Amino acid sequence: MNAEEIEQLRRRMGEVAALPHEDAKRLAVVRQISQVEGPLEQEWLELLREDERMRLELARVTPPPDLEQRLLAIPQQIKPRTRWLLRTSRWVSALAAVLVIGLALWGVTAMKNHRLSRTLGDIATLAMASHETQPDLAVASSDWQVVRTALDGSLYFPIDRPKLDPSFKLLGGKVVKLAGASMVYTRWESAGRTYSLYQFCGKDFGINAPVARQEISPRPSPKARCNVIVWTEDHCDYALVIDGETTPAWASGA
Amino acid sequence: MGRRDAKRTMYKSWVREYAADLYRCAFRLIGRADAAEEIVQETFYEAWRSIDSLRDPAKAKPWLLKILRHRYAHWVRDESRRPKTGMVLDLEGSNPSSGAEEPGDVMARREWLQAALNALEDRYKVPFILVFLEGFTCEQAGEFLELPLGTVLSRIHRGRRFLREYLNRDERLPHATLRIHRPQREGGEPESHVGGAP
Repeated sequence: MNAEEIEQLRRRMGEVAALPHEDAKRLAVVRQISQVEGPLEQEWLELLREDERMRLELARVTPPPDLEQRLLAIPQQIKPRTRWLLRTSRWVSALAAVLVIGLALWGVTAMKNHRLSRTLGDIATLAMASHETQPDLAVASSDWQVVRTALDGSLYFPIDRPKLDPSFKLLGGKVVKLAGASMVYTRWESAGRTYSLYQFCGKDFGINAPVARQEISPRPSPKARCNVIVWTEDHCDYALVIDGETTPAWASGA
Repeated sequence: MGRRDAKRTMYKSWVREYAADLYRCAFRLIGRADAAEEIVQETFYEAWRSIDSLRDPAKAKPWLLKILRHRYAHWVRDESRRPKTGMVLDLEGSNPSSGAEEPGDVMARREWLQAALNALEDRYKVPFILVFLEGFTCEQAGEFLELPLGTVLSRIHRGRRFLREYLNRDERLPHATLRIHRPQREGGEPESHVGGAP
């Protein structure tokens, strides 16, 4: 046995000394010790003696004489919890945990929804304000391809248009900046009403998920009553501003 | 005999059979008689309150020890929040290793043993006490602590080695005044660092 093996055996001696005498691991170590010349046998015996001394020393603690009496008096002071109460308290705890988790999830969702509706309200207000100023058109054409080609390249997102009512007639478009965010502005006309369509990138406003089509009531306009529809279609976000009190059925989503 | 009487009888038998053992265990874990007494009372209080939750009365002792371990964990947590104060163990003039042990030396040695235990981290101290004081086999200690047998054996070995080194080192300092600080119990210590103090 070389020095390293002896050191390993010494470590194993320390580990197995606490095992019962009949334990196979302990017996194996004892057999190994008996086959090695040197001080290991003496160390093993000393280890066992030391363990026994430790056991004796550890047990040498005297409990206070009145401890038993005080412990025996406990049942006279309180009643044990009944099995029913123990079971019920477990159910109540589980129910409370579910409620807390549910409330937390609901709170997070409500907060997200609130933040989203506030952002959409801001976008609607910006779009309506822009619509009321009737921005000059950079490209005046009724041909969508012409408008798109003219504006393409000036934005970091691809220009597209949503499915609009067939009666819509394009008047032209331009790139505008609202609250620092670039948008594609296109003006449309149908049945004597003017429509402004704004295509924007939701991420510019912190919107990371598709927006379901919804009608937003922006802050009352000083000039005229407008409605704004906001939605996501084919990964593009749109805000459509409609002049007038009522929103056409096709625009509100259906 | 009614159910309540049966419970009382069972509780009384636990007090008579296990109170002293639990007190010894608590004392060796904490090193203070007042705190050990308090924890044992809390343990029996909790045991009586939840007596109906014990399914197998034959396993009462491990169950009581589990409660005690929880109470001890609470105590450690509360203690760690209190401002730490150094404790001076003045052993001037006592030298346990010099010749045949006199009664005074034996007492000093016992104090050293408890001081060494106080300086030992819980992860080594608890399995050590379960096996050497409570008479658990290493396997039972592993089940109780939810640790593999190999880990229990290794921790006992490290704990024992630390105690031996602690005792031997201090035996070489016959006129020592040892300043003991409570070991730091939460994380951050390398595996090889078994004792937290001094």
